[in-house]
Amino acid sequence: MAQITAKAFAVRFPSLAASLQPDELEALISLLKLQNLDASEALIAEGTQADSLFFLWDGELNIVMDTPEGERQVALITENEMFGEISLMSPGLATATVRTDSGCTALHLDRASLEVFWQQYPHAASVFLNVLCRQVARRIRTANETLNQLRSESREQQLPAALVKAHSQLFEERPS
Amino acid sequence: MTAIDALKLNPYLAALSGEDLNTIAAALHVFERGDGHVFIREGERDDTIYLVIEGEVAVRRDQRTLERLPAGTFFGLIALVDDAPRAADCVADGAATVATLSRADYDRLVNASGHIALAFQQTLGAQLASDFRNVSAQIHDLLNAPEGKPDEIPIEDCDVVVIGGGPLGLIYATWVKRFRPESRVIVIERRDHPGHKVGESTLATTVRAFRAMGLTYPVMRRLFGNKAGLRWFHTSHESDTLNQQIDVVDIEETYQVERRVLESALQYLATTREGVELITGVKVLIKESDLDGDCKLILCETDDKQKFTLRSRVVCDASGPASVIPRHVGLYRKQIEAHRTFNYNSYFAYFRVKKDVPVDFWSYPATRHICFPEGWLWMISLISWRDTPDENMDQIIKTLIDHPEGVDETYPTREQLKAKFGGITEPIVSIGFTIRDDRDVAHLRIEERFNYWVNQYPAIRWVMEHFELIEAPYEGKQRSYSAFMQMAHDVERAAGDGWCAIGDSAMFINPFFSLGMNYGAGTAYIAARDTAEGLDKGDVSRAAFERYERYVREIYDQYTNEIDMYYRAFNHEDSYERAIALKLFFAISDVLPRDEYNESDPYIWNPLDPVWRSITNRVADIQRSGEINGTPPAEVARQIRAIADPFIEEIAQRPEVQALEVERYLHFYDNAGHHTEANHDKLRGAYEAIRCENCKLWYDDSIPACPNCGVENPRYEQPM
Repeated sequence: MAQITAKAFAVRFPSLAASLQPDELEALISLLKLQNLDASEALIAEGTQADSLFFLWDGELNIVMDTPEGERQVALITENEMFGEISLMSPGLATATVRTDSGCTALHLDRASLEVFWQQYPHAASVFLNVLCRQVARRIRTANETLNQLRSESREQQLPAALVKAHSQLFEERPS
Repeated sequence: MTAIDALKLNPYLAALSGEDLNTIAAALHVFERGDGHVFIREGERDDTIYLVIEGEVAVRRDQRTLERLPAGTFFGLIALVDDAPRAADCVADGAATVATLSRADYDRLVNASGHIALAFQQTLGAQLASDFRNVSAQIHDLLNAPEGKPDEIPIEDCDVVVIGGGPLGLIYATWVKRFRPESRVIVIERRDHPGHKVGESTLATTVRAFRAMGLTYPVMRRLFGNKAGLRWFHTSHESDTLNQQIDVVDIEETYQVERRVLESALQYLATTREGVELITGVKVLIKESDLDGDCKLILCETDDKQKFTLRSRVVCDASGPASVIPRHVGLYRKQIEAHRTFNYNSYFAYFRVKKDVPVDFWSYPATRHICFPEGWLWMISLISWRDTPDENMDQIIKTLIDHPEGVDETYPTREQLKAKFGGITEPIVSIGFTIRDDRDVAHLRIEERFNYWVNQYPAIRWVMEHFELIEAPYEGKQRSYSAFMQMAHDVERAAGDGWCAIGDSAMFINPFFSLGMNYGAGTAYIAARDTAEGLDKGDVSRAAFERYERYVREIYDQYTNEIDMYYRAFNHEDSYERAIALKLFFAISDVLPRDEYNESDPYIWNPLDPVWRSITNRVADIQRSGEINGTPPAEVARQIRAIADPFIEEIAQRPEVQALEVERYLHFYDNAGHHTEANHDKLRGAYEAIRCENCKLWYDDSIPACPNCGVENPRYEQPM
């Protein structure tokens, strides 16, 4: 994508861009590859090997997990967000499927290129890691909330009828 | 393992030089803590990071262990990165050695050396990413948990769990809510719907407690039968009549209460008015519950075997004689030897009146007691709703309680309610014996024992000829006769860390003077106050229940002695008369109407007064010695008179007692405290019951019409 400029990148990813030196930023941009996704196409599939970092340039992506009833959305990635850092920092299979509903544009940086970049620019590596750690921390907190939410949902489903009744007024429910 | 060994378990750090590792290790502060030590508490603000060096650290949220961190694992990283409060508890799981690295030291390390910084960042990044995978895996598992097969027992949180949805459990629950409205109080009850238990003869303090719960006079008049006092008689082998009558009547409007009706009404009030939550048809699995921790985990099971756990700060045991917690923790006892007394057996049945007993004022709606050397007989006239189905009964209760509050005549009559909702009532009489167990006829079955005592005393046999037994009166009960054997019990302690036992779960003394409900309400009140204050202060340990503990201990000890005094006094009609007169004169100024239940009600009749305690102890001791030494009862009675007479006379002279004109309430006494012939023409007391000319039921004379049938009260005078 020839038209990505440092300026455009800095507008979308300000915290990363602001911490990088101009030459580091230029080098990074030169490594990025554009990827266009059609509606309902998956960028990452749950359970597959994934080791790329992505920058969502345009559109939205859903993070979904497989359930017996089909996919369920557990998080949302919006424009100007980085993702894929989990597999990058803790190698393993993708924890979820990342799919777009209505198409999107993302920039993509594979692990090998990133590692070379980090070796060439140690300062940039430190900046990257800082940003990524903060991002993971944010993801953990969001995931914790999701987990709590699901737990309370499943608890309600599992609660014995007697306990559910107790929340309303038992007496009212006696047949008249 | 050393700190450096632990650091080297991380690949990025392992690649560092020994010198770099030493630099890092020098910044660490290493220490060991025992099992359960909380390194990090959820919600706290702190950005120190930790490294497990030896042992394991459990990550917990919501009392649930999310994962166990082995040596070499960093934790507490999220707060370092985003400065927000801690996301979970991290607790030593067994003894654990950890190292801390403060934020300042961390910053110093990474600023001093580029490659240390990078190795650290990569380590933290890998750790965080792995933490995320962990949470993610849990989300995945939860989303893929097989439907309908919960992998774990659901937990419900609240402040207070009450075991037992009987009157006292509900009264306690309501008072906790009143004292501390923000509390979530859940009552669990074994039965699906209140059913039959024993009928209650209530006294003024208990009626005040009911009124405090929202049961108003017009509602109680329609649900329950009127009661207007207590009457005692004495009989013996030497006599074939009822002797030495004692009345304490015309004091305050009280009721003879059927338990299903009372419980249903209190359940309705507690749940609809007070915000108490009630779960019925659930039993507590106490052996699988956890009472040890700061949070009590009460495992419950529904009739269809579904389990759930209630987690609370306080558990109140209101399970009655089942005494669930005291028995479980080994504090329950039937130890009466320490009091040098005996236990008691009660057996009872329900009867219809065949014809009125030809004794003056016999039908006046007082609880009647016939005392004799081995015990006494009670006769309680009830309005029984036993043939009214639960659903119809509930509608009647709901209609009455939801009726806009107003004067009595604005309420529908009992007959109107019965017609509208399909209610059936019948006047019946509960008749039962309570016998000292050292004098009971232990070789006989319950029914035989009942009839044995009927036939022992001609006066009782004659009275019983006026009644006929109702066979198996209550649904679900095959037998006509019920029994409570060896009733007296107490607990070594009535409270512990985060729990208390109230009512019969803590103690039962005797049915004489309706102590169970009178002081049961007292236990509910004081325990609720201690509970609410403890929750406010954040301390619900055993110490928080100190006032309550003392209350149970003192009431039990005093009444055990006092009740012993009455029973032994039944040996002779004179000592019987003096012992009850002692109580009536001592207590009468505390019996008269007060408006609201207040903190003096748990101490009604002033039983802990030192002079009173001393008198009752002395009288009990004299009688005890008399029984042991075989002193003739008439002689013992004379010794008691020597103590009782001056005491009663002194009380009768007190200005507050003089002002009462006790003759108005004690129809067989003069104002000086002497037993006299009946004088029913004495001045009217504070309260009087009238018998309806139409339906023949008794009701409060001060209202314009019979609450049962609506026929006018001929004595009613419109207030000016």
